Amino acid sequence: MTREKLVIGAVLLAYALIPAFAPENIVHLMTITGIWIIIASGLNLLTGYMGYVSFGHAGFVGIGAYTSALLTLKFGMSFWAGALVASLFTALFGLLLGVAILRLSGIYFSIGTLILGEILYSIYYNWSPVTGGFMGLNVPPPELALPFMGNISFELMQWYYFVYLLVFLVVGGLKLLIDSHFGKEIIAIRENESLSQSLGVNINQRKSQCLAISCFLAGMGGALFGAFMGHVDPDSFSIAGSTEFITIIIIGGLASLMGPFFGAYVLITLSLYLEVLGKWRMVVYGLIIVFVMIYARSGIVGFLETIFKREFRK
Amino acid sequence: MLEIKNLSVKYDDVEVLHGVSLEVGDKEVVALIGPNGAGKTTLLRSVSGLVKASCGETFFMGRNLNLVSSDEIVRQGISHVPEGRRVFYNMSVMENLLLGGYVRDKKERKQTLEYVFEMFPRLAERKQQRGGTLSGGEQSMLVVGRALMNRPKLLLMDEPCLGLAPIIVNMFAESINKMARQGLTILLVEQNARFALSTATRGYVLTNGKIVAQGETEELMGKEEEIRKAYLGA
Amino acid sequence: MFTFEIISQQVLNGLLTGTSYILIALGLTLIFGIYRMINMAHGAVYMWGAYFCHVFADTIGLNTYLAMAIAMVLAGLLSVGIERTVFRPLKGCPDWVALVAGLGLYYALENFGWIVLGPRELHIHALATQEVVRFWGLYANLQKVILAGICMATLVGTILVLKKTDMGRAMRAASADPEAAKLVGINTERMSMLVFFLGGAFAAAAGSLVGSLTSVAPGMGFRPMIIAFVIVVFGGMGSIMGTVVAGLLVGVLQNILAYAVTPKFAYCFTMLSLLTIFIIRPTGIFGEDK
Ligand SMILES: Nc1ncnc2c1ncn2[C@@H]1O[C@H](COP(=O)(O)OP(=O)(O)OP(=O)(O)O)[C@@H](O)[C@H]1O
Ligand SMILES: [Mg+2]
Repeated sequence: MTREKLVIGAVLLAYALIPAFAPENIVHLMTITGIWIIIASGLNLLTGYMGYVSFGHAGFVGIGAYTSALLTLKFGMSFWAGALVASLFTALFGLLLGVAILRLSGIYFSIGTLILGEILYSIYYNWSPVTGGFMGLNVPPPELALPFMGNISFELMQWYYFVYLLVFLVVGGLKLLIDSHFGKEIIAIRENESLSQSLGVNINQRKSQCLAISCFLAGMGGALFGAFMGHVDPDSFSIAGSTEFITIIIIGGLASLMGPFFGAYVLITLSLYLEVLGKWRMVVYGLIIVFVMIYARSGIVGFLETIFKREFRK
Repeated sequence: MLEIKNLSVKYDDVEVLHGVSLEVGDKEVVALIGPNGAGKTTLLRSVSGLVKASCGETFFMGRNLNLVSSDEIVRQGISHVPEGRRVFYNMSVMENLLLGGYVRDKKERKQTLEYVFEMFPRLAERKQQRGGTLSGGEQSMLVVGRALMNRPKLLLMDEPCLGLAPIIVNMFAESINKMARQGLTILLVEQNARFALSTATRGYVLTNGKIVAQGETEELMGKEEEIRKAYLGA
Repeated sequence: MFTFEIISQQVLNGLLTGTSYILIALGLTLIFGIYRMINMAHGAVYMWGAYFCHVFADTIGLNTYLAMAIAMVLAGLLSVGIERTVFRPLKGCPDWVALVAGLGLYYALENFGWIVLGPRELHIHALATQEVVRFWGLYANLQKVILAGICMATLVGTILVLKKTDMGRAMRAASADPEAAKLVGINTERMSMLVFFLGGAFAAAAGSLVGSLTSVAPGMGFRPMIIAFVIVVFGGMGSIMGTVVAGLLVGVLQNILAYAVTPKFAYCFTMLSLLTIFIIRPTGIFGEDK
């Protein structure tokens, strides 16, 4: 236990020190990766722990990104309020959607979310008066006015620390959630839905809650992503994006809190190295997804499990 | 005709047959009996090439079958009536039978069809009916008929009479005896020891993936006590 | 605004659009029948098929339909290659794994298309696109009618083969019960390759015909693939008649919506209506109840 705390402390320290040593572009990439980790952790809750594989997650991320952008642009909200409302809105969307789409399970749920992802993408792309069409929207940078400290402008450093603060809050929150009764019940749903229902789990409620939390994190990631990049456009929220999120949690290892970390870093490192391939980059990227599916489905965490002979996944 | 030497079969990492040896001579009817989960089905599946042996060899008319694919095994003259009446539900009786002769040429198929209809006249009456709508007994006849359509030299049968009424079981025993008289070699898996031993000349008792007793049917009947013990897993 | 003529014209257009979807969906259905999985790389085969047709018809200068036949063979082989390298190793995995792998492969093949085809739009030369057929006060592009004809011929041919020939029976047997099929001597692996070959060839035919009506571009396969995929689901997964009816319905729905709402949102609304039906009846309109 103390050893675990020591490890966690070391990791936090490393994260705190990275911006002091790493070049700017690395800090930039790490920040984006942090946002991905938030989104992927939400997907992991739904897919890894509860067993519902969503192919439309990038669409949910888009809801958060566009809502937050529109709230700041058109309604003059601050980024902070906008992002919070956007995350809650995405969660509410998930909750309402859940009533319908959670009637589906297994591959049917995947198909349903895939169609939904297409619908959302086509709304982002075609509803130009609101979403800006394929050009997207430009999002103003956030401002932070603190008492006694005055206005803090949000530069890369601030972004980095802010995002990772959220990452650790989210992962910590998910850890509590997974260890709670709720966590055991959604894992039971994955293992055997009808059995867990007959054992008294209110599966409909649990499933909607899980989808809502997952959507909340997707919306939050979307709001962060839009403001950090200063821009939102539909191409980030297509089925390709959803495939990428699924790949992240699989490369990392499903149903493990560490999984999204590993997955996101591996994928971002890969895409960094793949830059040298120029236009072949996306071809190789696609083939890597295929390769992972065929040969590395248990992910990095699964690999660590075989090395350390310990269970890290639930 | 069929010679299995020291056969072991694994599912994933679990070995379910541990060095089984068994022999079926020309024109012989041999029964393979044993309790649930003994590995009888697995043994037949291994002969048909549906599962691969992890160790040991299978010879059919002197040829090694270990590396032969399942469709080639059928072509060499082994028919397998699988466990649990696997008729093709959405196809007519006729289509099911024609599929039975899939590896034989069309002219030959026509003759065999007559032979099968003679053996099971009920099937001739129901040619156009969908396989899935047949009664249990009729489905059993259909799978046996389908297996015969291949003009097999060796017929493997996996509990063809499971869940059938005694009258139909008797009829099946008769059909099997008839096929045997016509020179077909048969390896019959049965839970129902009495039925198995009444049709077969020799038998093997398989328990927990090992042969625990073998011999002439009468001899095995005499060792009833021993077999019962095997069944009880003592 | 909604006169009888306009509605019938839209329905006709819809039926013609629907036939191209059917051609794509037919391949997916056959593959689904044997493999119990959905081949998400199918759209890429469709695109490559159209590109092959462009190369033989326009670059080399062969007759359009000869070029199409060659393209069908090549795309069929591409599809078989996909089966052997990607889907065969995934047999027995959870369904969604094949879905992800198929999408990954789709992106690889589409992006390879961007390298080979470049950003320009390519064309397939076909005289019939210039001509219009008129009947009962309605009109249709001749090439579209040819497309519908080829689709129907393929469909009838496929159904006849499945019903009447040994090979067709073997394909149905392999998809109904692979193990029982092996026990009557059917080489189920060869059957898998066969359905992938046919699926690829049908997709190439659709791609070439649609490509001759519009243009050939690397991203042309994604939406038709998604639509075909939805059609397969609606047709009850693996049922050919279901696929046909669902294909025509989706084509008509899309055209009517394009007219009634706006073309921009036709796809979105089609998908939305289909998602709604799907949630109510997951096994498809023609599927059996779970
Ligand atoms: N596909 C499979 N994967 C893993 N284990 C299997 C598989 N098929 C069978 N087994 C196991 O192998 C053992 C032998 O099974 P098998 O079906 O051969 O027995 P059997 O003698 O035919 O039984 P029964 O009389 O009930 O039909 C059993 O313990 C069974 O659980
Ligand atoms: Mg058995």
